[in-house]
Amino acid sequence: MNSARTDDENRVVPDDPDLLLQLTEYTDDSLWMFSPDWKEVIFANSRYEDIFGEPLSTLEDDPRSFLEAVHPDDRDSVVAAMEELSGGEPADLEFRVDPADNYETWVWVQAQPVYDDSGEIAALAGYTRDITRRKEYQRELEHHREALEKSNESLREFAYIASHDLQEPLRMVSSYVDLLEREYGDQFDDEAEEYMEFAVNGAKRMKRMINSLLEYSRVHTQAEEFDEVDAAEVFESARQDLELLIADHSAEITVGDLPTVSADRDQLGQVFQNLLKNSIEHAGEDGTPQIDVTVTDRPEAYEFAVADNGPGIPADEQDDVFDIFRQGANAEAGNTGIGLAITRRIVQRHGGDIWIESEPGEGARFKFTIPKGLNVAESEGVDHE
Amino acid sequence: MSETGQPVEILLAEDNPGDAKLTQKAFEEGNILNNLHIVENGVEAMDFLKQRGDYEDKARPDLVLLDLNMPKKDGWDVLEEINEDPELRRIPVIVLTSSEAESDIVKSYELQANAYLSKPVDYSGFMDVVRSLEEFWLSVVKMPPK
Repeated sequence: MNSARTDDENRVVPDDPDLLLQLTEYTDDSLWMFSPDWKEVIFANSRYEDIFGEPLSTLEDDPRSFLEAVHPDDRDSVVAAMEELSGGEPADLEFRVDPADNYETWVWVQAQPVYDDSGEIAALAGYTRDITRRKEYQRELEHHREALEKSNESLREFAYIASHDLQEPLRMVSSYVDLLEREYGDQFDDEAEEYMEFAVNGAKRMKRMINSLLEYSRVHTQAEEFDEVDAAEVFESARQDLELLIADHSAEITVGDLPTVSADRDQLGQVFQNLLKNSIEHAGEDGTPQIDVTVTDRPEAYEFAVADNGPGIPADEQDDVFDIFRQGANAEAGNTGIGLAITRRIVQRHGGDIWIESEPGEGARFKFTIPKGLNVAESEGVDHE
Repeated sequence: MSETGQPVEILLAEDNPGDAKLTQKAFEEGNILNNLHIVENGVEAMDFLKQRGDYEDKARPDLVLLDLNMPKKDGWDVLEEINEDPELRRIPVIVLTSSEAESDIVKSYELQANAYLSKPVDYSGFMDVVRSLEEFWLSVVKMPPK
């Protein structure tokens, strides 16, 4: 039976040192130890050849020969890291190796100096890991990200062009249908009157939808770079803009301490305004709306919540709430229901998420996150249109 | 001008006949006596303003409504040429266009347009614009002498 003991550094060490050696073979990493001047190999497991493509013997002849297995462009940084390690600086770097494979193998090296009892560097120890696959995944991810960005870009362009270029024909239809009615209305019989009404209503709805699309595309065409924004200030501004609506419904609004966030000021204002308006209108349908706005400080983001005492939203309808033409063709004057779609687009643009927590009869809590420390002009969320 | 009972001379430079007619109707229904002259492109607009070619006998306009996107010569060029002429420079020019681009707005003002208006979405919008024009430009504001 093999026996082991606990040494004074609380490690369990087998009596038979060969067992330890075996352990160093049970890894795909190259484990190694060099003298501080890199002139001697003190230890190397047998993975060296798998990774560098050259037999371990070459290392024994000249320990620094492994530099030849390193991609020429990466040699300088490897040499620099080696020199720093000799001086006591831990190393952590990635570089390419294996000339036989056209230097397509990526490795990651982490290494530390090993000190003896008198505080001198006795050896340099580390491991080298093949990370080629990880690099490939990263590249693929980058490609996907670029493709997604391009796709989003063309969707945005499309939304803008569609809504913008449609303004002129819309203007023709709306205006002349209107003029027809004004100037020839008294010459219409009942049937013609009815035709006109369908045309006029169709034109009105078309106008609302196109204007909504235009507003939606503005999330990007009129986007500003992110800045440090006082959410409390922005919220107050939004609340003031809704003064009339609040008064009409006698809505009671409470708000907690809101933080400073990295955001597009105007757009954050739109988010607050849209959510407040939505909550007031729904909660106001059968009672006095009570809206409570709070924020939770999460590690990576601020999680805002706008809670109302309205009828609530059933789980199967919660996603639809954010669709572009939620209220569709039956929208009342001026209300195509695009506010929440715009809100979602804005939150996504900031790299955040938005969702609803609600049960019928228990009000609704609209929650959205704004990531912390954003310093890029645009953060893309996935668009599920 | 309207005080003396003389009709206000207005030049509309607009290539879209649908839009031109809407503007015309809105002015017809307006409160101020006016003659609306319509040209379809920048070349005709300049001929009219300089009272040459087909437009030798036309009166110099009191106000110009200018569409930016016209064939042959666009609204930008017209603005520039108006600006270069000391007499024409005095005429108020209102740019009426469908572009929302901020760069277009800035450029128009840099070229000394007096105002920049987005084209209304429907007929009642046109009437609103005419009403505003009448109130502001044609009644209240003192126009430079001809």
